[in-house]
Amino acid sequence: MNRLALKLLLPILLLLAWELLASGSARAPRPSTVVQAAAAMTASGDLPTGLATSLLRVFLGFATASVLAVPLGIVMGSVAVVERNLDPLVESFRPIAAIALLPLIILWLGTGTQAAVAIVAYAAFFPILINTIAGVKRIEPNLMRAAYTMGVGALTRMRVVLLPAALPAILIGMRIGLGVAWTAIIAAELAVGAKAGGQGGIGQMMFVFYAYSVELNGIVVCMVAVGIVALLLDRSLRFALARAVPWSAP
Amino acid sequence: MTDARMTDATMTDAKIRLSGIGKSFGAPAAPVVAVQDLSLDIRPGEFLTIVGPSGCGKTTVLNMLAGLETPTTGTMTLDGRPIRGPGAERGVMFQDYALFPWKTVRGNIGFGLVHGPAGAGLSAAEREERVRRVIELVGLTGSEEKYPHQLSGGMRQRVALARLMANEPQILLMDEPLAALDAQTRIILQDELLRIWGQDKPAAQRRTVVYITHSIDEAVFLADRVVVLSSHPGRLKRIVEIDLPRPRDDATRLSKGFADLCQSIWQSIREEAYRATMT
Repeated sequence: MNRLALKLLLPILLLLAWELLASGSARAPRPSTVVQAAAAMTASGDLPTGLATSLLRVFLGFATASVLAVPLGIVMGSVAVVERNLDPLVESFRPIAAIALLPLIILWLGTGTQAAVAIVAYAAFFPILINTIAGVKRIEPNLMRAAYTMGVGALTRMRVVLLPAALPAILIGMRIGLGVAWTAIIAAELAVGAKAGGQGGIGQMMFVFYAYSVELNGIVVCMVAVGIVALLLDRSLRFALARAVPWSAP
Repeated sequence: MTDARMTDATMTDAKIRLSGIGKSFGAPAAPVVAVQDLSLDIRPGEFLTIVGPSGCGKTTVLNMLAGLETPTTGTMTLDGRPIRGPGAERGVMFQDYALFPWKTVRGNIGFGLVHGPAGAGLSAAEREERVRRVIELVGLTGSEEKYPHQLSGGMRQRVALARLMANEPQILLMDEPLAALDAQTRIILQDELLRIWGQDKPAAQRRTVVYITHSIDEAVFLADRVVVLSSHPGRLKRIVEIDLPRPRDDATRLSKGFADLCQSIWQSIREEAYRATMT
Protein backbone atom coordinates (compact mmCIF):
# COMPACT_ATOMS: atom_id res chain seq x y z
CA MET A 1 0.00 0.00 0.00
CA ASN A 2 2.73 2.44 1.04
CA ARG A 3 4.92 1.28 -1.80
CA LEU A 4 2.17 1.86 -4.29
CA ALA A 5 1.62 5.34 -2.89
CA LEU A 6 5.34 6.04 -3.20
CA LYS A 7 5.38 4.83 -6.78
CA LEU A 8 2.45 7.04 -7.67
CA LEU A 9 3.77 10.08 -5.85
CA LEU A 10 6.23 11.25 -8.48
CA PRO A 11 3.91 10.90 -11.49
CA ILE A 12 1.13 12.74 -9.64
CA LEU A 13 3.49 15.55 -8.69
CA LEU A 14 4.69 15.82 -12.28
CA LEU A 15 1.11 15.98 -13.57
CA LEU A 16 0.28 18.67 -11.03
CA ALA A 17 3.35 20.68 -11.98
CA TRP A 18 2.43 20.34 -15.67
CA GLU A 19 -1.12 21.53 -15.00
CA LEU A 20 0.09 24.55 -13.01
CA LEU A 21 2.92 25.56 -15.33
CA ALA A 22 0.81 25.26 -18.48
CA SER A 23 -2.25 27.06 -17.09
CA GLY A 24 -0.85 30.42 -18.17
CA SER A 25 -1.13 29.58 -21.87
CA ALA A 26 -4.41 29.15 -23.69
CA ARG A 27 -3.07 26.69 -26.29
CA ALA A 28 -0.67 24.61 -24.26
CA PRO A 29 -2.18 21.20 -23.49
CA ARG A 30 -2.72 20.46 -19.82
CA PRO A 31 -3.65 17.17 -18.15
CA SER A 32 -7.20 18.40 -17.67
CA THR A 33 -7.67 19.45 -21.29
CA VAL A 34 -6.00 16.26 -22.53
CA VAL A 35 -8.44 14.15 -20.52
CA GLN A 36 -11.33 16.13 -21.98
CA ALA A 37 -9.99 15.65 -25.49
CA ALA A 38 -9.51 11.93 -24.88
CA ALA A 39 -13.10 11.62 -23.69
CA ALA A 40 -14.38 13.48 -26.76
CA MET A 41 -12.24 11.42 -29.17
CA THR A 42 -13.38 8.19 -27.56
CA ALA A 43 -17.01 9.22 -27.62
CA SER A 44 -16.82 10.17 -31.31
CA GLY A 45 -15.26 6.78 -32.07
CA ASP A 46 -12.22 8.34 -33.73
CA LEU A 47 -9.69 7.13 -31.19
CA PRO A 48 -10.89 3.47 -31.07
CA THR A 49 -11.18 3.38 -34.88
CA GLY A 50 -7.72 4.87 -35.29
CA LEU A 51 -6.17 2.40 -32.89
CA ALA A 52 -7.99 -0.52 -34.47
CA THR A 53 -6.86 0.48 -37.96
CA SER A 54 -3.25 0.79 -36.82
CA LEU A 55 -3.33 -2.44 -34.86
CA LEU A 56 -4.68 -4.35 -37.83
CA ARG A 57 -1.85 -3.04 -40.01
CA VAL A 58 0.69 -3.90 -37.33
CA PHE A 59 -0.59 -7.46 -37.06
CA LEU A 60 -0.60 -7.92 -40.81
CA GLY A 61 2.93 -6.58 -41.14
CA PHE A 62 4.13 -8.51 -38.12
CA ALA A 63 2.63 -11.75 -39.43
CA THR A 64 4.25 -11.21 -42.83
CA ALA A 65 7.61 -10.56 -41.18
CA SER A 66 7.32 -13.68 -39.00
CA VAL A 67 6.37 -15.93 -41.89
CA LEU A 68 9.43 -14.77 -43.83
CA ALA A 69 11.98 -14.30 -41.06
CA VAL A 70 11.52 -17.47 -39.00
CA PRO A 71 12.11 -20.02 -41.80
CA LEU A 72 14.93 -17.92 -43.25
CA GLY A 73 16.50 -17.58 -39.81
CA ILE A 74 16.32 -21.32 -39.24
CA VAL A 75 18.05 -22.02 -42.56
CA MET A 76 20.66 -19.30 -41.99
CA GLY A 77 21.30 -20.51 -38.47
CA SER A 78 21.74 -24.15 -39.40
CA VAL A 79 23.47 -24.00 -42.80
CA ALA A 80 26.77 -22.12 -42.57
CA VAL A 81 27.06 -21.58 -46.31
CA VAL A 82 23.70 -19.85 -46.51
CA GLU A 83 24.55 -17.62 -43.60
CA ARG A 84 27.92 -16.66 -45.02
CA ASN A 85 26.28 -15.58 -48.26
CA LEU A 86 23.21 -13.85 -46.91
CA ASP A 87 24.66 -12.19 -43.83
CA PRO A 88 26.30 -9.27 -45.72
CA LEU A 89 22.98 -8.57 -47.42
CA VAL A 90 21.08 -8.65 -44.14
CA GLU A 91 23.63 -6.50 -42.39
CA SER A 92 23.61 -3.87 -45.11
CA PHE A 93 19.83 -3.53 -45.05
CA ARG A 94 19.45 -3.69 -41.30
CA PRO A 95 20.76 -0.18 -40.54
CA ILE A 96 18.36 1.33 -43.07
CA ALA A 97 15.47 2.54 -40.94
CA ALA A 98 12.02 1.51 -42.10
CA ILE A 99 11.08 5.15 -42.49
CA ALA A 100 13.87 5.63 -44.99
CA LEU A 101 12.13 3.20 -47.31
CA LEU A 102 8.98 5.29 -47.27
CA PRO A 103 9.55 7.14 -50.56
CA LEU A 104 10.17 3.90 -52.44
CA ILE A 105 7.30 2.10 -50.77
CA ILE A 106 4.89 4.91 -51.58
CA LEU A 107 6.02 4.87 -55.20
CA TRP A 108 5.53 1.13 -55.42
CA LEU A 109 2.56 0.50 -53.16
CA GLY A 110 0.77 3.84 -52.94
CA THR A 111 -0.35 5.45 -49.73
CA GLY A 112 -2.80 2.93 -48.36
CA THR A 113 -2.80 0.04 -45.94
CA GLN A 114 -0.48 -1.97 -48.20
CA ALA A 115 2.30 0.58 -47.86
CA ALA A 116 1.90 0.80 -44.09
CA VAL A 117 1.95 -3.01 -43.78
CA ALA A 118 5.09 -3.20 -45.90
CA ILE A 119 6.88 -0.68 -43.69
CA VAL A 120 5.87 -2.57 -40.56
CA ALA A 121 6.91 -5.90 -42.03
CA TYR A 122 10.31 -4.51 -42.98
CA ALA A 123 10.87 -3.11 -39.49
CA ALA A 124 9.80 -6.27 -37.68
CA PHE A 125 11.69 -8.59 -40.03
CA PHE A 126 15.20 -7.95 -38.72
CA PRO A 127 14.79 -8.49 -34.99
CA ILE A 128 12.90 -11.72 -35.70
CA LEU A 129 15.50 -12.92 -38.20
CA ILE A 130 18.50 -12.11 -36.06
CA ASN A 131 17.08 -13.68 -32.93
CA THR A 132 16.06 -16.79 -34.84
CA ILE A 133 19.57 -17.19 -36.26
CA ALA A 134 21.11 -16.69 -32.84
CA GLY A 135 18.64 -19.11 -31.28
CA VAL A 136 19.41 -21.83 -33.80
CA LYS A 137 23.16 -21.35 -33.49
CA ARG A 138 23.07 -21.44 -29.71
CA ILE A 139 21.35 -24.81 -29.55
CA GLU A 140 23.20 -27.19 -27.30
CA PRO A 141 24.88 -29.46 -29.91
CA ASN A 142 24.41 -32.55 -27.76
CA LEU A 143 20.63 -32.19 -28.08
CA MET A 144 20.83 -32.74 -31.83
CA ARG A 145 23.39 -35.48 -31.32
CA ALA A 146 21.23 -37.21 -28.73
CA ALA A 147 18.37 -37.41 -31.22
CA TYR A 148 20.81 -38.51 -33.91
CA THR A 149 22.13 -41.39 -31.80
CA MET A 150 18.56 -42.48 -31.14
CA GLY A 151 18.24 -42.98 -34.88
CA VAL A 152 15.92 -40.02 -35.44
CA GLY A 153 15.99 -38.87 -39.08
CA ALA A 154 17.33 -35.49 -40.19
CA LEU A 155 13.99 -33.86 -41.03
CA THR A 156 12.38 -35.12 -37.85
CA ARG A 157 15.35 -33.79 -35.89
CA MET A 158 14.73 -30.35 -37.37
CA ARG A 159 11.10 -30.46 -36.36
CA VAL A 160 11.28 -32.07 -32.95
CA VAL A 161 14.66 -30.83 -31.67
CA LEU A 162 15.92 -27.79 -33.55
CA LEU A 163 12.64 -25.91 -33.68
CA PRO A 164 11.62 -26.31 -30.03
CA ALA A 165 15.20 -25.70 -28.87
CA ALA A 166 15.31 -22.41 -30.76
CA LEU A 167 11.73 -21.47 -29.91
CA PRO A 168 12.45 -19.34 -26.84
CA ALA A 169 14.87 -17.18 -28.86
CA ILE A 170 12.45 -17.02 -31.80
CA LEU A 171 9.65 -15.84 -29.53
CA ILE A 172 11.88 -13.20 -27.96
CA GLY A 173 12.67 -11.99 -31.46
CA MET A 174 8.96 -11.84 -32.20
CA ARG A 175 8.32 -9.88 -29.03
CA ILE A 176 10.97 -7.34 -29.98
CA GLY A 177 9.65 -7.36 -33.56
CA LEU A 178 6.13 -6.55 -32.42
CA GLY A 179 7.40 -3.60 -30.40
CA VAL A 180 9.36 -2.32 -33.37
CA ALA A 181 6.34 -2.85 -35.62
CA TRP A 182 4.16 -0.70 -33.41
CA THR A 183 6.80 2.04 -33.44
CA ALA A 184 7.12 1.85 -37.19
CA ILE A 185 3.39 2.05 -37.87
CA ILE A 186 3.13 5.56 -36.42
CA ALA A 187 5.93 6.79 -38.64
CA ALA A 188 4.48 5.00 -41.64
CA GLU A 189 1.03 6.43 -41.13
CA LEU A 190 2.32 9.97 -40.83
CA ALA A 191 3.11 9.70 -44.49
CA VAL A 192 0.23 7.53 -45.59
CA GLY A 193 -2.73 9.27 -47.20
CA ALA A 194 -4.82 11.70 -45.16
CA LYS A 195 -8.20 10.42 -44.08
CA ALA A 196 -10.84 11.94 -41.86
CA GLY A 197 -11.45 10.57 -38.36
CA GLY A 198 -9.75 7.33 -37.40
CA GLN A 199 -9.77 5.67 -40.82
CA GLY A 200 -6.10 6.51 -41.44
CA GLY A 201 -4.87 5.01 -38.20
CA ILE A 202 -3.46 6.64 -35.11
CA GLY A 203 -0.41 8.06 -36.88
CA GLN A 204 -2.55 9.71 -39.50
CA MET A 205 -4.74 11.20 -36.76
CA MET A 206 -1.65 12.79 -35.26
CA PHE A 207 -0.69 14.18 -38.62
CA VAL A 208 -4.13 15.68 -39.13
CA PHE A 209 -4.06 17.28 -35.68
CA TYR A 210 -0.67 18.71 -36.44
CA ALA A 211 -1.11 19.89 -40.00
CA TYR A 212 -4.76 20.91 -40.23
CA SER A 213 -6.48 21.55 -36.94
CA VAL A 214 -3.38 22.36 -34.84
CA GLU A 215 -5.04 20.50 -31.99
CA LEU A 216 -2.29 19.93 -29.46
CA ASN A 217 -4.50 18.12 -26.98
CA GLY A 218 -5.36 15.57 -29.63
CA ILE A 219 -1.68 14.96 -30.38
CA VAL A 220 -0.97 14.32 -26.72
CA VAL A 221 -3.96 11.95 -26.49
CA CYS A 222 -2.57 9.99 -29.45
CA MET A 223 0.90 9.86 -27.91
CA VAL A 224 -0.46 8.54 -24.63
CA ALA A 225 -2.65 6.02 -26.44
CA VAL A 226 0.35 4.77 -28.46
CA GLY A 227 2.33 4.33 -25.26
CA ILE A 228 -0.45 2.46 -23.51
CA VAL A 229 -1.04 0.15 -26.47
CA ALA A 230 2.71 -0.58 -26.69
CA LEU A 231 2.77 -1.52 -23.03
CA LEU A 232 -0.32 -3.73 -23.38
CA LEU A 233 1.07 -5.46 -26.46
CA ASP A 234 4.35 -6.20 -24.76
CA ARG A 235 2.77 -7.43 -21.54
CA SER A 236 0.28 -9.69 -23.26
CA LEU A 237 2.97 -11.12 -25.50
CA ARG A 238 5.19 -11.73 -22.51
CA PHE A 239 2.31 -13.51 -20.81
CA ALA A 240 1.68 -15.60 -23.91
CA LEU A 241 5.38 -16.48 -24.18
CA ALA A 242 5.53 -17.74 -20.62
CA ARG A 243 2.60 -20.03 -21.51
CA ALA A 244 4.09 -21.11 -24.83
CA VAL A 245 7.53 -22.08 -23.50
CA PRO A 246 6.99 -23.09 -19.88
CA TRP A 247 10.36 -24.88 -19.80
CA SER A 248 12.37 -21.73 -20.34
CA ALA A 249 10.54 -19.77 -17.66
CA PRO A 250 13.02 -18.91 -14.92
CA MET B 1 45.80 -58.24 -16.79
CA THR B 2 46.71 -58.58 -20.42
CA ASP B 3 47.90 -56.31 -23.12
CA ALA B 4 45.89 -55.51 -26.21
CA ARG B 5 47.51 -57.99 -28.53
CA MET B 6 46.82 -60.95 -26.29
CA THR B 7 43.19 -59.84 -25.95
CA ASP B 8 42.86 -59.70 -29.68
CA ALA B 9 44.27 -63.16 -30.06
CA THR B 10 42.18 -64.81 -27.37
CA MET B 11 38.83 -63.16 -28.00
CA THR B 12 36.99 -64.16 -31.10
CA ASP B 13 33.45 -63.19 -30.16
CA ALA B 14 33.99 -59.44 -30.03
CA LYS B 15 30.81 -57.35 -30.02
CA ILE B 16 32.76 -54.31 -31.13
CA ARG B 17 36.23 -54.49 -32.61
CA LEU B 18 38.52 -51.49 -32.95
CA SER B 19 41.57 -52.09 -35.13
CA GLY B 20 44.27 -49.46 -35.37
CA ILE B 21 41.86 -46.60 -34.70
CA GLY B 22 43.33 -43.12 -34.93
CA LYS B 23 41.71 -39.72 -34.87
CA SER B 24 43.25 -36.34 -35.67
CA PHE B 25 41.67 -32.92 -35.60
CA GLY B 26 42.58 -29.64 -37.19
CA ALA B 27 44.36 -28.73 -40.39
CA PRO B 28 45.90 -31.63 -42.34
CA ALA B 29 49.23 -29.80 -42.30
CA ALA B 30 49.35 -29.56 -38.51
CA PRO B 31 47.00 -32.19 -37.15
CA VAL B 32 46.32 -32.64 -33.46
CA VAL B 33 46.32 -36.35 -32.78
CA ALA B 34 43.62 -37.19 -30.25
CA VAL B 35 43.73 -40.98 -30.51
CA GLN B 36 46.50 -43.12 -31.95
CA ASP B 37 46.55 -46.75 -33.01
CA LEU B 38 43.90 -48.04 -30.66
CA SER B 39 43.01 -51.70 -31.01
CA LEU B 40 40.47 -53.18 -28.68
CA ASP B 41 37.84 -55.91 -28.59
CA ILE B 42 34.72 -55.22 -26.60
CA ARG B 43 33.04 -58.46 -25.50
CA PRO B 44 29.30 -58.91 -25.58
CA GLY B 45 27.66 -58.24 -22.23
CA GLU B 46 30.76 -56.82 -20.61
CA PHE B 47 31.01 -53.66 -18.60
CA LEU B 48 34.06 -51.95 -20.00
CA THR B 49 35.32 -48.75 -18.44
CA ILE B 50 37.85 -46.38 -19.96
CA VAL B 51 40.03 -44.21 -17.74
CA GLY B 52 42.91 -41.91 -18.46
CA PRO B 53 44.24 -38.47 -17.72
CA SER B 54 42.57 -35.52 -19.39
CA GLY B 55 43.62 -35.28 -23.01
CA CYS B 56 43.66 -39.02 -23.52
CA GLY B 57 40.83 -38.88 -26.03
CA LYS B 58 38.29 -40.82 -23.96
CA THR B 59 35.36 -38.83 -25.24
CA THR B 60 36.67 -39.02 -28.81
CA VAL B 61 36.73 -42.80 -28.56
CA LEU B 62 33.16 -42.84 -27.31
CA ASN B 63 32.01 -40.45 -30.02
CA MET B 64 33.58 -42.69 -32.65
CA LEU B 65 31.83 -45.72 -31.19
CA ALA B 66 28.60 -43.73 -31.25
CA GLY B 67 29.20 -42.90 -34.91
CA LEU B 68 29.25 -39.17 -34.21
CA GLU B 69 32.86 -38.91 -35.32
CA THR B 70 34.69 -40.83 -38.01
CA PRO B 71 38.13 -42.29 -37.30
CA THR B 72 40.96 -40.90 -39.39
CA THR B 73 42.59 -44.32 -39.58
CA GLY B 74 41.66 -47.87 -38.76
CA THR B 75 38.40 -49.78 -38.77
CA MET B 76 35.57 -50.23 -36.32
CA THR B 77 33.12 -53.08 -36.57
CA LEU B 78 29.99 -54.00 -34.70
CA ASP B 79 29.07 -57.67 -34.95
CA GLY B 80 31.53 -57.83 -37.83
CA ARG B 81 29.93 -54.99 -39.79
CA PRO B 82 31.68 -51.64 -40.14
CA ILE B 83 30.30 -48.78 -38.06
CA ARG B 84 29.13 -45.92 -40.26
CA GLY B 85 27.30 -43.23 -38.34
CA PRO B 86 25.00 -43.54 -35.35
CA GLY B 87 22.53 -46.35 -34.94
CA ALA B 88 19.71 -47.04 -32.54
CA GLU B 89 21.40 -50.25 -31.39
CA ARG B 90 24.03 -48.08 -29.73
CA GLY B 91 22.54 -45.78 -27.09
CA VAL B 92 24.53 -42.82 -25.83
CA MET B 93 24.38 -41.10 -22.48
CA PHE B 94 26.07 -37.72 -22.66
CA GLN B 95 28.07 -36.12 -19.92
CA ASP B 96 25.73 -33.14 -19.79
CA TYR B 97 22.76 -35.55 -20.09
CA ALA B 98 21.45 -33.69 -23.18
CA LEU B 99 17.88 -33.74 -21.90
CA PHE B 100 15.33 -31.88 -23.99
CA PRO B 101 14.38 -28.88 -21.83
CA TRP B 102 10.94 -28.58 -23.46
CA LYS B 103 10.01 -32.16 -22.68
CA THR B 104 8.82 -33.47 -19.36
CA VAL B 105 10.51 -36.43 -17.73
CA ARG B 106 8.00 -38.70 -19.48
CA GLY B 107 8.50 -36.94 -22.83
CA ASN B 108 12.28 -37.17 -22.59
CA ILE B 109 12.24 -40.85 -21.73
CA GLY B 110 9.77 -41.69 -24.48
CA PHE B 111 11.52 -39.54 -27.09
CA GLY B 112 13.36 -42.32 -28.87
CA LEU B 113 10.27 -44.54 -28.86
CA VAL B 114 8.12 -41.81 -30.40
CA HIS B 115 10.57 -40.36 -32.93
CA GLY B 116 13.17 -43.08 -33.45
CA PRO B 117 13.23 -46.66 -34.68
CA ALA B 118 13.25 -48.01 -31.11
CA GLY B 119 9.48 -47.61 -30.94
CA ALA B 120 8.76 -49.09 -34.35
CA GLY B 121 6.25 -51.89 -34.12
CA LEU B 122 5.13 -50.87 -30.65
CA SER B 123 1.59 -49.67 -30.04
CA ALA B 124 1.05 -46.46 -28.11
CA ALA B 125 0.03 -48.50 -25.10
CA GLU B 126 3.17 -50.63 -25.30
CA ARG B 127 5.34 -47.52 -25.48
CA GLU B 128 3.63 -46.04 -22.48
CA GLU B 129 4.10 -49.27 -20.60
CA ARG B 130 7.81 -49.34 -21.49
CA VAL B 131 8.26 -45.74 -20.33
CA ARG B 132 6.38 -46.42 -17.12
CA ARG B 133 8.53 -49.48 -16.40
CA VAL B 134 11.79 -47.61 -16.95
CA ILE B 135 10.62 -44.71 -14.83
CA GLU B 136 9.98 -47.18 -12.05
CA LEU B 137 13.33 -48.88 -12.63
CA VAL B 138 15.31 -45.69 -12.11
CA GLY B 139 13.10 -44.44 -9.28
CA LEU B 140 11.48 -41.46 -10.95
CA THR B 141 7.87 -42.37 -10.21
CA GLY B 142 5.99 -39.22 -9.20
CA SER B 143 8.19 -36.88 -11.26
CA GLU B 144 6.82 -37.82 -14.68
CA GLU B 145 5.38 -34.41 -15.49
CA LYS B 146 8.33 -32.31 -14.32
CA TYR B 147 10.65 -30.46 -16.67
CA PRO B 148 14.43 -31.01 -16.49
CA HIS B 149 15.03 -27.55 -15.01
CA GLN B 150 12.87 -28.54 -12.07
CA LEU B 151 15.05 -31.55 -11.24
CA SER B 152 18.22 -31.99 -9.22
CA GLY B 153 21.43 -33.20 -10.87
CA GLY B 154 20.88 -36.74 -9.61
CA MET B 155 17.32 -36.81 -10.93
CA ARG B 156 18.42 -35.52 -14.35
CA GLN B 157 21.02 -38.23 -14.47
CA ARG B 158 18.27 -40.77 -13.81
CA VAL B 159 16.17 -39.31 -16.61
CA ALA B 160 19.10 -39.62 -19.02
CA LEU B 161 19.69 -43.19 -17.91
CA ALA B 162 15.99 -43.99 -18.24
CA ARG B 163 15.90 -42.49 -21.73
CA LEU B 164 18.82 -44.70 -22.65
CA MET B 165 17.15 -47.79 -21.17
CA ALA B 166 13.77 -47.10 -22.76
CA ASN B 167 15.26 -47.50 -26.23
CA GLU B 168 16.70 -50.88 -25.21
CA PRO B 169 19.95 -50.51 -27.14
CA GLN B 170 22.26 -53.53 -27.27
CA ILE B 171 25.20 -51.33 -26.40
CA LEU B 172 25.26 -48.52 -23.86
CA LEU B 173 27.86 -45.82 -24.43
CA MET B 174 28.20 -43.60 -21.40
CA ASP B 175 30.39 -40.50 -21.15
CA GLU B 176 31.19 -39.65 -17.54
CA PRO B 177 27.54 -39.89 -16.60
CA LEU B 178 28.18 -39.40 -12.89
CA ALA B 179 30.87 -36.74 -13.17
CA ALA B 180 28.62 -33.83 -12.26
CA LEU B 181 27.25 -35.39 -9.09
CA ASP B 182 28.32 -35.15 -5.47
CA ALA B 183 30.17 -38.07 -3.89
CA GLN B 184 27.22 -39.59 -2.02
CA THR B 185 24.89 -39.48 -5.03
CA ARG B 186 27.60 -41.04 -7.15
CA ILE B 187 27.96 -44.02 -4.86
CA ILE B 188 24.21 -44.57 -4.77
CA LEU B 189 23.92 -44.30 -8.53
CA GLN B 190 26.89 -46.59 -9.13
CA ASP B 191 25.08 -49.29 -7.18
CA GLU B 192 21.92 -48.59 -9.08
CA LEU B 193 23.68 -48.62 -12.41
CA LEU B 194 25.04 -52.11 -11.74
CA ARG B 195 21.60 -53.31 -10.69
CA ILE B 196 20.03 -51.88 -13.85
CA TRP B 197 22.80 -53.31 -16.00
CA GLY B 198 21.91 -56.67 -14.49
CA GLN B 199 24.83 -57.72 -12.32
CA ASP B 200 22.51 -60.15 -10.51
CA LYS B 201 21.51 -61.75 -13.77
CA PRO B 202 23.43 -64.31 -15.80
CA ALA B 203 26.08 -62.69 -18.01
CA ALA B 204 24.23 -63.62 -21.20
CA GLN B 205 21.34 -61.31 -20.28
CA ARG B 206 23.49 -58.25 -19.73
CA ARG B 207 23.94 -55.45 -22.20
CA THR B 208 27.35 -54.31 -23.39
CA VAL B 209 28.48 -51.12 -21.67
CA VAL B 210 31.33 -48.81 -22.59
CA TYR B 211 31.71 -46.34 -19.78
CA ILE B 212 34.06 -43.35 -19.71
CA THR B 213 35.14 -41.97 -16.38
CA HIS B 214 38.01 -40.02 -14.92
CA SER B 215 37.54 -41.66 -11.57
CA ILE B 216 39.68 -44.75 -11.08
CA ASP B 217 37.68 -46.20 -8.20
CA GLU B 218 34.50 -45.79 -10.18
CA ALA B 219 36.10 -47.52 -13.16
CA VAL B 220 37.24 -50.44 -11.01
CA PHE B 221 34.01 -50.74 -9.07
CA LEU B 222 31.82 -50.97 -12.16
CA ALA B 223 33.95 -52.81 -14.67
CA ASP B 224 34.70 -56.26 -15.94
CA ARG B 225 37.73 -54.71 -17.59
CA VAL B 226 39.32 -51.29 -17.25
CA VAL B 227 40.98 -49.80 -20.30
CA VAL B 228 43.72 -47.36 -19.33
CA LEU B 229 44.63 -44.75 -21.90
CA SER B 230 47.65 -42.49 -21.92
CA SER B 231 47.42 -38.92 -23.13
CA HIS B 232 48.71 -36.71 -25.93
CA PRO B 233 47.99 -38.63 -28.02
CA GLY B 234 45.47 -41.05 -26.55
CA ARG B 235 46.98 -44.53 -26.72
CA LEU B 236 46.16 -47.83 -25.14
CA LYS B 237 48.29 -48.23 -22.05
CA ARG B 238 46.86 -51.22 -20.24
CA ILE B 239 43.80 -53.39 -20.02
CA VAL B 240 43.08 -54.51 -16.49
CA GLU B 241 40.79 -57.46 -15.80
CA ILE B 242 38.67 -56.74 -12.73
CA ASP B 243 37.97 -60.11 -11.17
CA LEU B 244 36.18 -58.78 -8.11
CA PRO B 245 33.11 -60.95 -7.46
CA ARG B 246 29.63 -59.78 -8.44
CA PRO B 247 27.24 -58.57 -7.20
CA ARG B 248 29.43 -55.76 -5.96
CA ASP B 249 28.44 -53.48 -3.09
CA ASP B 250 29.92 -51.49 -0.21
CA ALA B 251 31.88 -54.54 0.88
CA THR B 252 33.59 -54.47 -2.51
CA ARG B 253 34.58 -50.86 -2.00
CA LEU B 254 36.24 -51.75 1.31
CA SER B 255 38.01 -54.85 0.09
CA LYS B 256 41.76 -55.16 -0.33
CA GLY B 257 41.41 -56.42 -3.88
CA PHE B 258 39.54 -53.25 -4.84
CA ALA B 259 42.14 -50.99 -3.25
CA ASP B 260 44.99 -52.88 -4.91
CA LEU B 261 43.44 -52.59 -8.36
CA CYS B 262 42.83 -48.86 -7.90
CA GLN B 263 46.39 -48.39 -6.72
CA SER B 264 47.81 -50.36 -9.61
CA ILE B 265 45.88 -48.29 -12.17
CA TRP B 266 46.79 -45.07 -10.43
CA GLN B 267 50.45 -45.99 -10.61
CA SER B 268 50.25 -46.45 -14.34
CA ILE B 269 48.78 -43.02 -15.01
CA ARG B 270 50.05 -40.90 -12.11
CA GLU B 271 53.06 -39.58 -13.93
CA GLU B 272 50.97 -38.29 -16.80
CA ALA B 273 48.23 -37.07 -14.49
CA TYR B 274 50.79 -35.04 -12.56
CA ARG B 275 52.21 -33.66 -15.75
CA ALA B 276 48.73 -32.71 -16.97
CA THR B 277 47.88 -31.04 -13.68
CA MET B 278 51.13 -29.22 -13.02
CA THR B 279 51.79 -27.78 -16.44
